[in-house]
Amino acid sequence: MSDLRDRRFERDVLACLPDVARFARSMAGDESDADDLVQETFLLAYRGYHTFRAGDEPRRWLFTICRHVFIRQRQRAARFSELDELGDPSSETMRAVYGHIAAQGDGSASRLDTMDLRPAIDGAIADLPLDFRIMVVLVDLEGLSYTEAAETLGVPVGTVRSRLYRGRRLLQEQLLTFARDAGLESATARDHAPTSGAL
Amino acid sequence: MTPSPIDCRTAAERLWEYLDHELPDGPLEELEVHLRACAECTPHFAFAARLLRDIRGARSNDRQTEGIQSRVLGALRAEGFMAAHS
Ligand SMILES: [Zn+2]
Repeated sequence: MSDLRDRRFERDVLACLPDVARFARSMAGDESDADDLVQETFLLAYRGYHTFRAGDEPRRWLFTICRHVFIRQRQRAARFSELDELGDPSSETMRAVYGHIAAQGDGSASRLDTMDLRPAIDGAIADLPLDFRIMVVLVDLEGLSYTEAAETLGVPVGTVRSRLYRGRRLLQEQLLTFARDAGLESATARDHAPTSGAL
Repeated sequence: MTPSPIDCRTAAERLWEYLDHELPDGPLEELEVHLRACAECTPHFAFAARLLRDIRGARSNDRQTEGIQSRVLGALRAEGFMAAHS
């Protein structure tokens, strides 16, 4: 490659390495698998740099490559092309709302309001099934719009919505369970606290 | 023109699109009118907004990338990559 193209590659494409590393990690789970995935992604990107169109967003171009590499490595293409039994986006949204209504009833919603969720959130995201995790990562963590996520993954926008909303609903359930358990713990601690004056 | 009134079900179905700024103008205006008047829907939106804030905050937990950066550079140099001075 010419020096100029290499310099452009460095400036536009290599600069996205932290984003790609994060994306790879969200798919691969394991850190060393993720590093292999990152390396392979940049090698392919370098070899295929001529297919990069001026005006393309480098980060999204890399995410697309990274996902292809991942699918090929894991030979999971079949799993990916099969659409799971997802509801339409509005019914997935309603399930989150109904979940909140239930949590308003048992008090976990208000407990969650006052809690620090950060310790629970990374694990909850990591536990999401892959298709939903990728959507949450692309839209919520990387800030892509629905359309951008759809183009990056080569799926219809409706699929982005359904998977994203399902992923968020699963996260909501996990975090509410976290809040409920924390509430139980403090209630148990209260029950076992020495009560002065008791017989 | 005043937006047509929507019911709570319709409002709730627009929850995520609203929080993601993906609602077109018309439906957005209908929803905002509903939320101003409806005390029952507002908590659902507040709850979901808080959840989204926390999910988005997970991004601050970035991993270190120096190690993989130099590995990638090494692999690219083996392919003839010239530019990186770092
Ligand atoms: Zn309402």
